[in-house]
Amino acid sequence: MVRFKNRYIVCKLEFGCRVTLPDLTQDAVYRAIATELQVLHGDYGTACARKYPNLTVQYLNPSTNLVMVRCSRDQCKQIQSCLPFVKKIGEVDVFLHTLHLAGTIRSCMKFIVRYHKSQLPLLMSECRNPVERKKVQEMLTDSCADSGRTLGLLERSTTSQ
Amino acid sequence: MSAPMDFNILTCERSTLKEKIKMAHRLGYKAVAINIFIPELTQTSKKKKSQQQDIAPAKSLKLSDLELQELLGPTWKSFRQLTRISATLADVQHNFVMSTDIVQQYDLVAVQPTTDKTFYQACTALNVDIITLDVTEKLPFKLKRTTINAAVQRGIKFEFQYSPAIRDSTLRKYFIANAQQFVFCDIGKNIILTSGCEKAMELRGPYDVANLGSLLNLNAAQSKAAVTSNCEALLKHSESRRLNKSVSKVEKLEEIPGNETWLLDKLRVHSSLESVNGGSRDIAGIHGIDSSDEETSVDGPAAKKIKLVQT
Repeated sequence: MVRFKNRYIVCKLEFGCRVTLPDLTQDAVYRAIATELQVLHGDYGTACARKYPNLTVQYLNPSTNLVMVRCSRDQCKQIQSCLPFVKKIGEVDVFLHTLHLAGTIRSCMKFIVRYHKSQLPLLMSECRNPVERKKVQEMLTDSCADSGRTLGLLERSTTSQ
Repeated sequence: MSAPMDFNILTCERSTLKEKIKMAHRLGYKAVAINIFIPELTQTSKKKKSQQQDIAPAKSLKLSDLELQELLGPTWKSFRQLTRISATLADVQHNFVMSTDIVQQYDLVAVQPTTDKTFYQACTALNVDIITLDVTEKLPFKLKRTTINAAVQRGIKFEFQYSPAIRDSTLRKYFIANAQQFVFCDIGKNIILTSGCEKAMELRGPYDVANLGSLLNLNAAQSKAAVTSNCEALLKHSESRRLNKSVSKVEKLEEIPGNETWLLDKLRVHSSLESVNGGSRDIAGIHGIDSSDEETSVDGPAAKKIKLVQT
C-alpha cells in the first residue's frame, strides 16, 4: 500500500480592520472554500475533494487567524486556484492569504512557529500602552530563549491529536 | 520568490488609498504603482486641452515619506511607490497626448485599446510600457501574433486585472477567457497580473495571484514571473523610455579627428578624478543607461564617448 500523498496549505485570514472573528470555526472556513470550489470547478471538483484524502481544515488559530488546509496532491492546483476567490466566511468579509505549501503537517508546524516568531517584532510597533509593550517584550525573549522547546511542544500536541 | 510587485492600485480618497497600500505591504508586495485612470483621452481638441491640464503631476499621487512611515512602521524604507497613468484609446488620431511631457513623467504609462486600429498602434508605435487588456467584456479586437510580437520586441508587457474576476462570476468568465486567448497567442510570456482594486479587501497575496495563473494555462514559472520578474523588466523599460534616445561610440584616443580635441581636455580632468577615486565606471556607463550628462559618463582614458541627443 502506497501512502496517501497530501498537500497542506497554510493561509492567513485577513479581515481588513477587524482583528479576529469571535465565532470562527474550522467548519465555517471549510464551507467557504467548498462553495467556491463548487462555483469554480463544478461537480467534478467537489467530487474529487470528497474522496480520501479529502479537503479539510486541519488547524485553526483564532488568535493569529492562521488556517491549515489539507487536500490531495493531485487536486492541489484546483484548491489553490479557488482560494483567491473566497470573499466571505459566514457574513464577514475576509480573504485568504497563502503563506506556505508543504507536504507534511510537521513541516507546516515548523513554518507556523517560524512565522509567529517573525511577526512578534511587528506587533511591537503596534503597541499603544506600556503594558502591552512589556507583554510583547516578554514573549519575544521567551521565543528567542528556547526555540527548540516551543517547536517540540507544538509537534507533540499535533501528533497526540 | 523575488520581490513581488503590484502595478495597479487605483488612486482614490487618501484614507482608502492608505488602507490599500498598507494591505499591499502586509501581503508582502515590495513595490506598488498608484494608478490614475483617465477614461477618455480622446475628445475634441478644445476639451482635450482642458483635460491635458487636468492630468495631475506625477508627484501629487504619491504619499509623502512621513505618511508612509506612519503607515507601514519600521520597514517602510524597503517599500517603493511608483506612479502610473492609464487611458483608454478609442481613436487613432488623438493619441499624441500619450507622448506629452506631463504623461511621460509618470513612472509607468499604460493604455487600454478598444479597437483593432488602436491596438495595432499601441503595439507598434506608441511610447508606452503596458497595454491593458479589458477583462470585463469580450475582447473588442482580434489578437494577432505578429502584432503582439511587435510589442514584445519593444519590451511592452500586457496586463490583466484580477479584481473584477474576484468581484463577480460573469466577469470571472471573461477574465479567464480573454486571458487564455492571449496566453495562446503569446505562449504565456510577457503577461503581468495586477489587482486594479477599488477596496483593500480585493487585494490578494502574491502567491495567490500566481496560483490564478494555473487557471490561465500558465505554468508555475510563468505565473510567478507574471508577478515578479516581468514587473522588474517593466521598471527597466520605463527607465529607458524616459531617457532621451542616445548613441554611444567607443574610439581610440589617437584616432580622434582634429576638430574634437576639446574632448581630450575634458577627459584628462575626468581621468584624474577617476584615479583619485580609484574606481572605474561600470559597463552601464558605456551604453548610456545611467548617464545624465556627457562628461561624467566617459569610460576610462582610452575611450571617448559621444552622445547625440534627439529631441
